[in-house]
Amino acid sequence: MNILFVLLIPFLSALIILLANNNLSQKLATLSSAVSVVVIGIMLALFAQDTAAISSIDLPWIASMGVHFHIGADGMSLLMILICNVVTLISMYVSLGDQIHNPKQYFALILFMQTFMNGVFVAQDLFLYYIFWELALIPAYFLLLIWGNGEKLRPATIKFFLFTLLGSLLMLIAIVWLGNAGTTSDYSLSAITGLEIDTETQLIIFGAFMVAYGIKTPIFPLHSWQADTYTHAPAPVTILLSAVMSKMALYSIIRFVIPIMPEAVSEYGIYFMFAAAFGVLYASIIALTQKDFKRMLAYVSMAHVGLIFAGILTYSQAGLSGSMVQMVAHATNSAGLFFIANLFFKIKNTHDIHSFGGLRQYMPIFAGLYMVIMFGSIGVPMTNGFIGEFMILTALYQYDVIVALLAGSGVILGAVYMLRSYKSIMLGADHTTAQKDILGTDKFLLYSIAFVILCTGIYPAWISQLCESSIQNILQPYLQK
Amino acid sequence: MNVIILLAITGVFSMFSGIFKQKMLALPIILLAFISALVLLSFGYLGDFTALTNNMVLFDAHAIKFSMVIIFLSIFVFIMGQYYYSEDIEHLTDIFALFVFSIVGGILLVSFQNLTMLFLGTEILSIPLYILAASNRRSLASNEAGLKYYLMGSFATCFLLLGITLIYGAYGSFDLDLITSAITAKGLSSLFITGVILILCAFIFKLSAVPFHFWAPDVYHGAPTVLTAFVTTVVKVAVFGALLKFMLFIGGHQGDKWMLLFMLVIIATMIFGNIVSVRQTNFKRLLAYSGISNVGFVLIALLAINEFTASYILYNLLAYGISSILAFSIYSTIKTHTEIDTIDGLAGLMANNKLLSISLIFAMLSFAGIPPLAGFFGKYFIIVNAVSSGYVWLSIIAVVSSVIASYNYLRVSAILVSHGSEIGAIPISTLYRIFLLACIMCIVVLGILPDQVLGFLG
Repeated sequence: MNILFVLLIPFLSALIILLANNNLSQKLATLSSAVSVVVIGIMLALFAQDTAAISSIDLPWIASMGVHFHIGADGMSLLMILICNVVTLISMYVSLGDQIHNPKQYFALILFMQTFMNGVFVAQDLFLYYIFWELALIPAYFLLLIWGNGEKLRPATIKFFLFTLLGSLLMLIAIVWLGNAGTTSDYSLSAITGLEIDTETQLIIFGAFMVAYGIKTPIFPLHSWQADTYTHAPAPVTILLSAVMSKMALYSIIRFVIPIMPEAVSEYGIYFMFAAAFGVLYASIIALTQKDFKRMLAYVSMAHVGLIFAGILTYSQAGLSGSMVQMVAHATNSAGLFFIANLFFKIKNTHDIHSFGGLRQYMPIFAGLYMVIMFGSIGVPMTNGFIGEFMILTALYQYDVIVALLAGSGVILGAVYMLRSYKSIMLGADHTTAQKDILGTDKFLLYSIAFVILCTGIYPAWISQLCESSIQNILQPYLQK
Repeated sequence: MNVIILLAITGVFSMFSGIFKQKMLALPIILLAFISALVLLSFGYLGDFTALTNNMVLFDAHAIKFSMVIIFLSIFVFIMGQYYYSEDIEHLTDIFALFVFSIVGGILLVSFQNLTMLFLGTEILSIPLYILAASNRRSLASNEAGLKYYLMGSFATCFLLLGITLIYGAYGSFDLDLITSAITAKGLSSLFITGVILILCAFIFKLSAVPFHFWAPDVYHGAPTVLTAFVTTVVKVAVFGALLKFMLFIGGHQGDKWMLLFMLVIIATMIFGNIVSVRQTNFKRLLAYSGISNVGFVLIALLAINEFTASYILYNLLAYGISSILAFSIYSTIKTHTEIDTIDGLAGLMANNKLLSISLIFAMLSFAGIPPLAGFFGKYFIIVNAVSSGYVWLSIIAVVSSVIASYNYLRVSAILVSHGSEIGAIPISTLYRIFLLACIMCIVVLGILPDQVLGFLG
C-alpha cells in the first residue's frame, strides 16, 4: 500500500467539500476522516506482517536545490498518523451537534490541516518537511480566527502565528545549512544523517531546531502563546492543536534532531531538558490556580508534553519508548478532556469551574467516564498514562536526579489539580439545575475514549512493538559511539 | 529592438483608437500585442543580439529576460486598469497609450549600452508616469502626487545627468565599452567615481529606497491605484534591470567600493519599510511601504552578483509583482464600491465576498513568505545566495525584518475573516473573476515549480 494515500484522501476530500453543497460538507468530512482511519488501520495491519509493505515515493521536485518529494513511513510515522487520523475523526464528532457557520470552509480547513500534519509525519526530505510544517499552521490560523471566540482572539492568534513563524524560520536556516553541508545540495534525511558535523556547529543547529520545537510543543519559557490560543480556539481545533500539533514537534525531535546531532543532544540536551522539566512543575502550579477549566487543561497539556520533551532528550531506550507510549496517551487523554470541557460549556455556557457542582447526581455515566479519562491523565496504574510516565521518570532519574525531581513533583501536582477540579464540578454543593445525562454520539465517544485508555493501560506493549525498529535505528549511531 | 517598435506602434494605435471613437478596441489590441510580444520573445524571435544604432542599444539575453517580465506584469496591470477606469471610459485610450509608452521606456532602459540611452530610457519611462500620477484630475491627492513625483523625479534626473556628464568628462565617451577600454588605458579617475555615485543616487531615488524614499508614500498613496501598482511592480523591474546592468559595468572597476554604500541603503530600506508599515492604518499605504521594503530585499541580490542574480531578482519581482497587483486591484475594487480604504474597514469582507477575500489572503500569505507560495521562494533564493556569499548578518537582519513585516500581512488577513460589520456583496465581472483566479494560479504555480520558472528566467 502506498503511503501517499494518507495525504491524498484528506486533501481530495477537502477539495470536494469546497465544491460541494454546504449541507453535505459535514457528512463528507466525517466520511473522509473515517476512511482515513480505516486506511491507516489497514496500513498498520500490513506493516505488522511485513515492514516493507508500505511503499514510499521519491520524486525530484526542485532539482537545482536538490529537493525531492520524498515520503515514506516506518512504525513511528504510522503511529503518529494513526494519532492524527483518529483525533481528526474525534474532532469531527465533536463538531457534530454544533451549528457551524460556513461549514464548507470549516471542514475543508480541518482536512487540509490533517493533510499537512500527516505530511510532517511522512516527509523524508527536510525541505519538504519544512513546507508541510509551515503549511499546517495556515489552516490552524484561519480556524482559530474565524471560528474561535473570546475578546483577545485576534491578538492571541497573531501571537501564536508569529511565535511559531519565528521558530520555523530559525529552523529553516538550519535546514538550509544542513542541506548544503555535503558536497552536493541534498535535503534527504538519509544523506543529512550521514553528515559528519563538528560539535560546535551541531550546537548552533541544535539550538535553532530546539527553539522551533520548544515553541511548538511548547516548553518553558517559550509557552506564552499557548494558554490563550487553546482557550480561544473552538473545541475541535483545541483538540487538534493539543493532541496532534504538539506531537509534530516531539516527533521531529526523535526523527531529526537525535539522529542528525547526537553529540549536541548528549552534550547540550540537558539545558532543554531542565527547561522542560521546570516547565512541568511551573505549568502544574499555574494549573492549580486556574478557575477556567479549559485554561487549566491548557496548562495540564503543557505539563504533559513537557515531560515527554524531557524524556526524549534522555536519549535512552526507556526514555524514547516511554515517550512514544506517553504521546499516544496524551493524545487520547487531552482529546477526551477538551471534549469534556466542551460538554461543560454546553451545559452552562461557561468554563468556570466554580459555577458547576454536584453534576454527578444528574449525570452518573458522564461522571464515571470523566473519572476514567481523568485517571488516565493523572497516570493511575492500569490506565494509559501510567506506564509511559513511569518509563520517562525512570529514564530521567537515571539521567539526572534534579530533573527527575522537578518533573516528578509536577506529576504529583497533576493529581491534585485534576482531583480538585473533579470535586468542585462533579461533587460538592449543587449549583446546577437538573440535567439529562449524556446521550448519543457524546456518550459513544466518551465510552470509546475510556475504552482506549483502559486497553492501552493494560497492554501498552503494542506501541513499543510498533516503534521498536524505528527507535533502534535512531539509537544505533549513538550506541556505536 | 523589434519588440520596442511593436510596442511603440501599439501605443500609437491606442491613441488613435481614442480619436476614431473605437475606445473598446484599445484593450484587446494592447493585450494581443503584448501577449504576442511575450510569445515571440520566449521563442527567440524579436530578440537580436547585435548592438544597434551605433551600439546604443543591446538587446541581449539580459534585456530579453527583463523585457519579458515587464511585459508579463504589464498584462496584469492593463486588465486591472480596464476595470479601474471603467467609470472614466472617456480618457481610457490616452491613459493606456501613456502606459504603453512608459513600458517602451522600460524596455529601452533594460537594454541600454550607452549612457545617453540610460538617460533617454529613464525619461521615456518617467514622463508618462508624472502625467498618469496626476490623471485623477478631480482629486487633490492625485494632483499633489503628480506634482511631487514630477519635481522629485526631475531632481533625480539632474543627478543622473550630472553623473553621466562627469563620466563623459573623465573618459570622453558615453559608450560602456569605450569607457571600459578608456579606464584600462588611463586608470580610474575620481571624476568617474563621483559620477558613478551620482548615478547610483538616481537609481536609489527611482527605486524609492532609503534615503531617497520621502516622495514614495505620498505619491503611491495619492496616485490612481493602477499607477501605484504599475510603479511598484513594472517600473521596479525596469529599474532593477538597468541597475543590474550598471552594476555589472562598474563591478569590473573596483566594485567593492560601492558595497558599503549599498549595505547601508539596504539595511535602512528594509528596517524603515517594515517598521513604519506596522503603524499604518491605510491599506494602500501599507502596500506602498511593503513595496519599499521589498526593494531593500531585492537590493541584497546585487551585493553578490553571479550568473544566477538576474534570475533571482526576476523571480522575486515576478512573485512580488503579481501579489502586489492583485492586492492593489482588490483595494481599488473595494474602494470604488464602498469608499473603504482603511485596514480596519476591511473587517468582515469574507462574509459576502468570498473570492475577493480569498484572493487577498493568497496575496498576503505570499507577501508574508509562507511556503510554498511565490513570495517564499522569492525571498528564499536571495537570502540563500547572500548567505553563501558571506553576508550572514545582513541576511539575519533581512529575515528578522521580514518576520516583522509578516505581522502586517497576518493582521490584514485576520481582519478580513473577522466578524463584525459586514461589507455588502461587491459585484465583479467575469473578466475580473478570471483575472483574480489567474493571479492566484500564478502565485501557486510560481511556488510549486520554482525550478522551472528559474530555468525559464535564467
